[in-house]
Amino acid sequence: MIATEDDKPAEPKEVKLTRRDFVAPVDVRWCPGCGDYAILNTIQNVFPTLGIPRERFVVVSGIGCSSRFPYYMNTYGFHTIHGRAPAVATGVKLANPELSVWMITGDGDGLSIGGNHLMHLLRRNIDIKVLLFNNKVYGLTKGQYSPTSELGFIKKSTPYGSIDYPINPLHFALASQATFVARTYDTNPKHMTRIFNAAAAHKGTAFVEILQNCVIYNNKAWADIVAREVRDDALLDLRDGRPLIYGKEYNRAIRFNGFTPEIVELEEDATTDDLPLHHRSDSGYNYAYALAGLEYPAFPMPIGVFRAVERPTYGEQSLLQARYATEKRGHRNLQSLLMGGDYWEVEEKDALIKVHQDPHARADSLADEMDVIEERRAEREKYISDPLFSALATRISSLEVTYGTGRVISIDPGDSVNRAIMLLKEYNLDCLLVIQNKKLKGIVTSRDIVMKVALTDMDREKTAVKEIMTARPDRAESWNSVGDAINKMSMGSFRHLPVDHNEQGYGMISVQELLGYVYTSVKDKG
Amino acid sequence: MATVVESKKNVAPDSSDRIERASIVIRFAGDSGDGMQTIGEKFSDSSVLAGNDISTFPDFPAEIRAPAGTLPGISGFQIHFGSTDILTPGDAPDALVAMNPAALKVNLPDLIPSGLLIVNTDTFVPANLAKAGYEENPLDDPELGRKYRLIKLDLAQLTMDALKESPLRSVEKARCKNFLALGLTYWIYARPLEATEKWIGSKWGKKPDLADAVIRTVRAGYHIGETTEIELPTYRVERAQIESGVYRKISGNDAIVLGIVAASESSYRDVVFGSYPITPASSILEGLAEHKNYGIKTVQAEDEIAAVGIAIGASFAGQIGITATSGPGFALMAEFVGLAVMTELPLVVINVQRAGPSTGMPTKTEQADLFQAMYGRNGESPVPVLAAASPGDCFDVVIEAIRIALTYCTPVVLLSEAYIANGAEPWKVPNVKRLPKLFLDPLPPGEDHVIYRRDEKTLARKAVVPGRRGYEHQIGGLEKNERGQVSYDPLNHEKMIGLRAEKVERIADSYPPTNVHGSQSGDVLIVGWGGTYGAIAASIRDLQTEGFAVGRVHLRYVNPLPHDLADIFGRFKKILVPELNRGQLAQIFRGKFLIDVVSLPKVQGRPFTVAEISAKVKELL
Repeated sequence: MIATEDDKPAEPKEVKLTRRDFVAPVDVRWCPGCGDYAILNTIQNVFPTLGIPRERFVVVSGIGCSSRFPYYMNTYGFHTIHGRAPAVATGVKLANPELSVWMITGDGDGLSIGGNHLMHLLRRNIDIKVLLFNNKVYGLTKGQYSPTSELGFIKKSTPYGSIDYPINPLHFALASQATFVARTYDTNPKHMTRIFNAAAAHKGTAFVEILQNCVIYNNKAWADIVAREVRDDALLDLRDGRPLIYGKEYNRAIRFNGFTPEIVELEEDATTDDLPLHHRSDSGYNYAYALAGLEYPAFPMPIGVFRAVERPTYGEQSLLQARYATEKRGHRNLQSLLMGGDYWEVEEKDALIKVHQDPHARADSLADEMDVIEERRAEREKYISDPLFSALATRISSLEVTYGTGRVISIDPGDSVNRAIMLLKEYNLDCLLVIQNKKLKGIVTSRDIVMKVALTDMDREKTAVKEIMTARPDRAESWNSVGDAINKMSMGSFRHLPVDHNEQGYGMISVQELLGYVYTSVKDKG
Repeated sequence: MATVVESKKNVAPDSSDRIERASIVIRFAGDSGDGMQTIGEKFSDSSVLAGNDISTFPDFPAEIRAPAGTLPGISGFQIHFGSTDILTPGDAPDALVAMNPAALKVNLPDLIPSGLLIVNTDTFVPANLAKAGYEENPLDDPELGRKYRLIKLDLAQLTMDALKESPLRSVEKARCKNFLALGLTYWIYARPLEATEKWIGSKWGKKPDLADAVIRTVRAGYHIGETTEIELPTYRVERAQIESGVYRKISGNDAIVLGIVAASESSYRDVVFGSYPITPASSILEGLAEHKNYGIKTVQAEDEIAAVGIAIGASFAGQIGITATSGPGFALMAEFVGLAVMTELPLVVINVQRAGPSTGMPTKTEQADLFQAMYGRNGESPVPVLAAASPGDCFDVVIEAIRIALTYCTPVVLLSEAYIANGAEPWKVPNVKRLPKLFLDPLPPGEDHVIYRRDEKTLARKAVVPGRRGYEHQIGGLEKNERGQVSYDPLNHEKMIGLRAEKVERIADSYPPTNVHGSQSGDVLIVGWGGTYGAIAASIRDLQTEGFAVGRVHLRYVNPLPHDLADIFGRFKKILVPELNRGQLAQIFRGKFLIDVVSLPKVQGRPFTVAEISAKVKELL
């Protein structure tokens, strides 16, 4: 039951990139059949669709088979040293926040030698995308057990079996307060594409574990879970706002009894109403931690996005501090900084010494730094006046003037499906908000009608809208920026996003409207 | 608004009766919680305002609050001030202020015969005497008064008397007593009070009762000579002949902070400074963190490995990556420095050395990381090494280190020392218009970018930074050919190793000529590097006065060595190399020049005294 629909962020007009732009002109030297090929291929397909110019991608890696990745990407790349890619990636991102930094690591590089750095990268929430290839073995050093190898794993360095308990990479990430945690696997490019897109859209550190096969030293590392014959029953694909249903027949679900997971067999005509819905934006850790703890064969292994929450990034906070420091201490004036708070002046030998306790008083006459200040200021202005930047930074509330709330039509959850269809038709809409007692309960789209109602024998008059709606939809606040809204929509694969105006009810914004606004404002100013 | 305080020659009354001295060394010693560093700093500030040249030496234990009254818990602050050019904090104190028996026990052996000894008596109780290892009260020994000019004061009682009307609790009052000692020394040496009072006012401005009490205490100390029966000696030290200009007091680590900000301005690049707290380098991180309005981004990393990695990442992205640490942290950074050598990225690693090996003596000074800087990496991995000679010199040297790193696309190691980092001296503030310009032209548009194609003169590669369209490329720790492709070709490896080494060697082409001070040729040449500067310079000055044909060279550039050094060596009969290690630079000289230089090693966690160096030179003459 792997879903495939994706809403992809728009491509700016001037950059028409294709997969070929990202293929480096060198031979790829992984073993034939290695899972890394499929991952590389998928990334080369995803990067051109992200709307980021090629020169702004930086791929940083550590040491190991997966860490050869940067050499195969025709982007800026840095193959660093074992375990330390998080440090270098942090430096790159901090130096130039406009770069899209992707870090490639493995189970040994990321969780053994580099575990400390990875932990701190995640907790700092620096806007870096981390792809951890987990094949449960050391490949480049020719086959030793790794921190994710199962207990009893027999390899050259563990002839009697490993006695280390393995670590769960997702538990590691969650305990490090990662704001985005996901899992995918190497043999499903569609699923990888969806997850990489969601990671790219996330603002902050995105951690993606990729279950990956090593044909030489740990062949079929994940075959009992991801093989085509078994995966429908062995994998649980997490979709936000939907119940945790899985199975070839779509007939089983996971439910939590407190923190204890249990499998529910769904009767043929059972309603899924009482099943809990996946909510990746849960700000707590317990739910995602419990999900990440589901292990095959006792349970299906979840894949997809476990957790995606927003939290100010390190870069944003660092920028704010720089602004604050400028407000508090004033614009740069190197001469006065060098003089410090207390200085004295010797005018000529043996003469009086004048003691100053305020540096600013004498600064101007010694050196005029206005030209330097002006230059820096102009540079900043240029950045702020970039039309794309300012379009993305615009608050949604200011767009509502153009795309007013007047067009939002709502419906009660108890209303019939027929009424929903009628309203959609009458107002020529794609989407209705389901509102009860001034609270947003769900959203019904024309797509829901097509997928769940059309060509079924559903009694449209007797079936309530709540049966077919998407419950607890993600929403934007009116103070969110256009960029925030695009983020949310691409992460959740939505085309419409309710906008919460608090007391004033709800508005709605569509992907067409957002992209239209960005396009016209860039066109007008550019 | 600027406040201008005019301090005239004779601040204290009765100046004509004062004993005239060219320079004086005073040491304050007490428990590490007694505020010795604070009053030492204030005495220094006051001395520069009195027009003297100064040099200071804070000496404190690694423990924040070692058990009170014990020998290891003693904290000291020595200051040398005078009317001449002051080069060191002084060999031996002329005056000692001892706050308790342990301070007396530790420091008395250093005090010169007949020196001024001010002892706080209220701490001389049996428990403290026992902790200091005294079987009997040393103050009862009449010998003490014969050997030294002894002044016994009950500072606790005097402080209580002075603060009779203060609303503070007696515990708080008792804590003011270090300021009584400070006020007393101000009177003895005719230091001005105003600036200190102003400082007290601003430091404790939010607690007016406390500020008031501290000021009262300082004044009480200042007036002890008048209000008590105690007879005090008084001294006068003329103002130093200082060239005109704007001055401030600066420590080595503060000078590094300012140098980094200045280099950022004159290179038009922001700085990313990654660092992990370690004594005695932490104050560089703390200082830079304040200057975010200058485009300085600081990261307190999870360890030294990450600290240097963050700096390298920033350098790759086009800014200046810098890190600062001490020996143990520098050891952790070795692999990353090798990566910067291989990828030829600019990087500055500042190692504020302390006594090793391992944790060693964290607050004590040493110069034993020279070999570590030169050779502490795997493979053929040459890096330029620079050393700072004094607190003020740190400013110029860090700018020079950044110039070399940017110009030659190489990691640079800058060696400082605990002695320089914590010590302070007056510093002539440079005019920012005369700072070196560090701006480098980027690769011209349209020009072909070959990753390891080199500048003909410097052999530096031209780095292109991410974000520039059409120049996408990858770098990494694997050996590459000129085009930046991974290569296992044996001859290519040898060629690239040769080029990287030659590039570092050519840095010496950019040095100014080496200065020889003192005799230009003759019997003995002293070659020093780092913080031994003051002791060597003072020694040469003394020896020249005595008529000896001796000269000195002080190396800022330890690797590669200046081209003209061999010629200078040839002009002297003997070469003496004093170092706070077991002879590391001496060994490098022997290997490079095949001459038998004489090593003068010292590894006691303390700097050289002038006398130690002079004695060795005389032995060679």
